[in-house]
Amino acid sequence: MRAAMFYGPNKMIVEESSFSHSENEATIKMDACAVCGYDARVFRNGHRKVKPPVILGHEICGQTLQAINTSKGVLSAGTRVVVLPTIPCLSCWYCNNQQYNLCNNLMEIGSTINGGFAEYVKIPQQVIKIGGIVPVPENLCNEEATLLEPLACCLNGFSRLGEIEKDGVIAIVGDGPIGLLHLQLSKKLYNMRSIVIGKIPFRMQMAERMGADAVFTFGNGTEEDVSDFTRGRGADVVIVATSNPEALNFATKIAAKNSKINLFASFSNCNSFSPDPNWLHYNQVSIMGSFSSTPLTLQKAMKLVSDGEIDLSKMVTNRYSLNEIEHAMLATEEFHGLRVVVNRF
Amino acid sequence: MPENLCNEEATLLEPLACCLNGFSRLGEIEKDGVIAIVGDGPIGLLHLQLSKKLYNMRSIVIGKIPFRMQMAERMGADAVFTFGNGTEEDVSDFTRGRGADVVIVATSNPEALNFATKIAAKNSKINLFASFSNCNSFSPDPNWLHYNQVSIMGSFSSTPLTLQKAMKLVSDGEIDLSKMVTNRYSLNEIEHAMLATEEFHGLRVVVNRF
Repeated sequence: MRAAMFYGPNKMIVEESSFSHSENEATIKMDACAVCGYDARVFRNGHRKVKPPVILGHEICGQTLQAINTSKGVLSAGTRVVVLPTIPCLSCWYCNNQQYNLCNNLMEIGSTINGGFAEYVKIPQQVIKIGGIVPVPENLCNEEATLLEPLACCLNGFSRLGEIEKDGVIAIVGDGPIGLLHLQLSKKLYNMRSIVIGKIPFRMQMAERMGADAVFTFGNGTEEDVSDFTRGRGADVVIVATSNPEALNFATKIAAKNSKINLFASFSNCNSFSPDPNWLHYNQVSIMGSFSSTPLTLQKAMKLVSDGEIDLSKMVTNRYSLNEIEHAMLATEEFHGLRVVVNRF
Repeated sequence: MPENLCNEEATLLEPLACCLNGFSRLGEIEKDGVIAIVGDGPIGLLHLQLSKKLYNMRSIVIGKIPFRMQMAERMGADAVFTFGNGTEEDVSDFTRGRGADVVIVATSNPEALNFATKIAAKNSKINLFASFSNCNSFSPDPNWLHYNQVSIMGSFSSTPLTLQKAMKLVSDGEIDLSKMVTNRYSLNEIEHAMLATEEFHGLRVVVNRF
């Protein structure tokens, strides 16, 4: 099969790769695989989790090559599906408590094992067992479907926040696809007044069109902008949806009393984050990490999108073939459009 | 205030209400989870009682004062460890390597802050219940928070609702305050009362003659 093999930083080669199918796996013929910011960062810098050579890509939509038995019945061959990229061990404490994203022996499709930038991807039995293969309804195109995985991650993040202030304000730091998914969720599910803070004019326009109540440019005056918008109170929820480490201290500057700051992203360089414990204490602020998604949030994402609550149709802007994988990485790291998808293999 | 509560016990309803406010911030708490309470003072032991009675958690108290650590054992702590070099390992052993699902920082010792992150499990919640006089060195790794889905949550003071809830818990006999007050002073002796508090004598110090 053809695959974009990652051999190390800046080295990804589209080549013929051997592919064999075993009993314990399901094979998916790829229709579309979106490029996550993570893929672009790994391509550029490598990552402690990634041992080359390996095929990246974890925002997967494709067709089952053979029938698959799942806990919810049989998926016949040729069913369009999306896939949970986390592969749990099913034996550690976290797996026993259905917190598969926190598995002590976690493997990930497109990170520790071969992923979706290829003609075919193999899905281990554990993913099938936990309900990690979800059929895609007719009304959703392949490219939109790739965004269900990141949407599921956003839902996982929201699920960590506990009770959310009525009529509260959410500030989303980051105007990328992840920021705009958070924006849609905050409007639809929580009816919050939503601020998007970004840097890229096109993305900030998209934020406005998707219903942001305010869109501010990240810079010197942004704290004041948020303060003015919230009448001095600050935001009740702050989502850090950017890998820019400057966003961390900024988040604490715009957070209201009793607020929750979600560290949704990971950061490449973040030595300087020192939140004042007394500030956290006296203002009753929470800083909450969230990571990846679970079968439940993937299924919930699917329901929200197929019910028309969340609209993914404007999220994919740039399309590439597998041969153009380096262009796809570049477009992602240079913030072209919104989501970049590989859709010809 | 109900009849069955003496004046001195009743003074502990306010701190108990603060502890309830802290617990109310934590959201859903792990079933069969482990809580580690860093601090063996009256606040630590109120957290201990609440964690046992309300959440049925396996409860570790980490302290420094022998009398208070004995009291923690008598009040039902499943493990009591001395705060020091080997404590991370003690917690790791007790939790089979997993760490604590809830960590309550119930001491003003700023060393407890980084220690709390060392004993926190994945998906855990760390409550900064105390304030700190000197804490320049707290720099939790944002990637660690992200990948392990850990929360650091401040809580401050109490509300009318938590004070009323504290009163109900105590008057219903769910929480026992009778062993919490150990040292009594008159108003004239106020400086002694302050000294006894800062030197960790007994548990709670009360002024009861005015």
